[in-house]
Amino acid sequence: MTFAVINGVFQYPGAKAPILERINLEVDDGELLAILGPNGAGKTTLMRAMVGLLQWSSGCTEVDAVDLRSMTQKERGMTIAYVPQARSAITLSLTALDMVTLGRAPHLGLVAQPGPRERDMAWEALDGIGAGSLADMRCGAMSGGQFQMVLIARALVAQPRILVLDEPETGLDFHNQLVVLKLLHGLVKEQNLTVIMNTHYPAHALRVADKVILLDSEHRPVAGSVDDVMTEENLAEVFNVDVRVSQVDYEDTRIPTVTAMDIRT
Amino acid sequence: MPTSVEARTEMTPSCRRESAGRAAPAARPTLSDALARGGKLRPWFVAFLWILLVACALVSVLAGRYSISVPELLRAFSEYLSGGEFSDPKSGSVLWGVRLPRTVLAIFVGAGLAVAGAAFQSVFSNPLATPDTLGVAAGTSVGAVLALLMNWSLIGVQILALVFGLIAMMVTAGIARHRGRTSIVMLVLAGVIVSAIANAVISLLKLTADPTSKLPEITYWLMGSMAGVSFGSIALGLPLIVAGSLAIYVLRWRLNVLALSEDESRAAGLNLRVLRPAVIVAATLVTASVVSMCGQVGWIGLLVPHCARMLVGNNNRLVIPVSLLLGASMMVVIDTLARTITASEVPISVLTALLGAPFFIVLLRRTGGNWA
Repeated sequence: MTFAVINGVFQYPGAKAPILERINLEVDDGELLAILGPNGAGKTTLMRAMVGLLQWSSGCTEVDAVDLRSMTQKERGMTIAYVPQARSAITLSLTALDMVTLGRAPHLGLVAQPGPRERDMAWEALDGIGAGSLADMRCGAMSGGQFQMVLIARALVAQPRILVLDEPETGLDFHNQLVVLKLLHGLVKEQNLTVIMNTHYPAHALRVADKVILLDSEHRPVAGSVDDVMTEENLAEVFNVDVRVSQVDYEDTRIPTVTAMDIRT
Repeated sequence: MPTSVEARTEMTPSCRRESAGRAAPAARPTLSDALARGGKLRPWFVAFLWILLVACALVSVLAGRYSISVPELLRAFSEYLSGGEFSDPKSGSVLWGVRLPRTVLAIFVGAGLAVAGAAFQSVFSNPLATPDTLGVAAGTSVGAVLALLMNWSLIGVQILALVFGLIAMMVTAGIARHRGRTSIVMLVLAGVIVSAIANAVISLLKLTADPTSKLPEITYWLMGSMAGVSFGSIALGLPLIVAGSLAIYVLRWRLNVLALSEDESRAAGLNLRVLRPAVIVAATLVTASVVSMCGQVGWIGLLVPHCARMLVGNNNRLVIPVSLLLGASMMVVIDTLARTITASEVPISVLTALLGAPFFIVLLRRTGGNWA
């Protein structure tokens, strides 16, 4: 399974210039793509355009060489699961299990009701990511980290082949950031999912991504393998800071990290 | 990097520590656990709601200026079924001509308005969205008054009420939608504006009405009354209430997905361009039909769904059936009060506001609005 964007251009109606240009990327099964870039570079726009929530002005998204626009809403829902930024669920405070069960919607008929099978699947999805203890908790009473886990479980219960997440670790504490990152890495490497996420943290991309697309404010996106893209030069250019990429030894592994040294003048 | 199996075992305790979830001994059984389980209402609770409705309906049929005893009711029933004459023509005609049609209408009006309110709240992800607050009730009233002035039949009144209700709905949604988003406050403010315009138009129409015959009729009708219904007029109005409520009932689980953000519901494979208007039209249909039969009946669409949520939580799969049965019972009780507490009829909207508003204040104060 290959997920690809070909010559993607996106311009908001009424805007003078496109916010996204020359977007070309390709992700395969078992690969994690990170979208990086400064505020306002169009990370969320790119994410919404490539899963079909916005229409490309030109260019297209293809799944296994099939244009996303030729798929029905239902087919898209079964192929791609989208996890929005975890905001608190004020207006609809379902329990976690009810919330995760909603993820089965693309697979059920219009007037069908979820049965015991759907609830079992929801429970397994929650438990499978280590959040089973949240099952009976109301989403409105959860912390950001807990709610994020519920949203990921809701996406997974649809059994998608591609998981797309909008800043999944933003707003979480140090511990929960790592919980989410390791969970996503595990889904990619063990269940062979394709994961696409955008993030504010270059270090997170270095740590879990296989591929990176780096957006900058001048619309010159750089896409490629993590080693090719995440260079000190590219990061310095895009974020306008001097950075150092380094390796830290931890037990048997070397963990790559990136540190911002100073603001470029 | 460790594999995700290790990651999982690391994660589990952290979530346990933070939550009062199913494994934690401190978890307090909630009301909704007692009333529902596994996404379904407990059978005894459903039975209780039905028995409550039947009991309310029975009291409503028996109580009134001309009181009827249970044996009289049973005799009238068996005489009706055998097709013979009523041995007591007065109780027979009171039952069949006045009480029963009224109680049947109250059941469907209450159920329909409660379900319509719950549907509006989900479609707009807004706990304050109801036929009243969205301006739909006022809009349908304009259509109905116009049709009444032109002496149209009930079908005509319903159709014109529906058309004006949908127009009011579109105007409200249009005003509230700003840069592709609709905030809770904007929607309610837009509803206030549309209601104000609609009420001004109604006042204007009333000015043109004949003050000796049409004006009192319209005025009393606007305040809400179920007096003067017959099985004949019910037969014309109920199909639309039933159709609208049924559409919402079968889509009740999907309403949960509709209540999520637009991106989330679309990503969940929902065709919003079809589903959202379908639910709005269904709820407006119910409102229009109710307004054309018995005028403005406020509060039910707000009060009942919120009571249901306090009982069974926010899952619309449960909220819709509970609202349906609870709304029916509440409307029957209110209509019975309307015709029994004083010698003359008290308008229904007066009672729903006088009883509903304080009740709602108590609920709000006790929960801080946290159930929504």
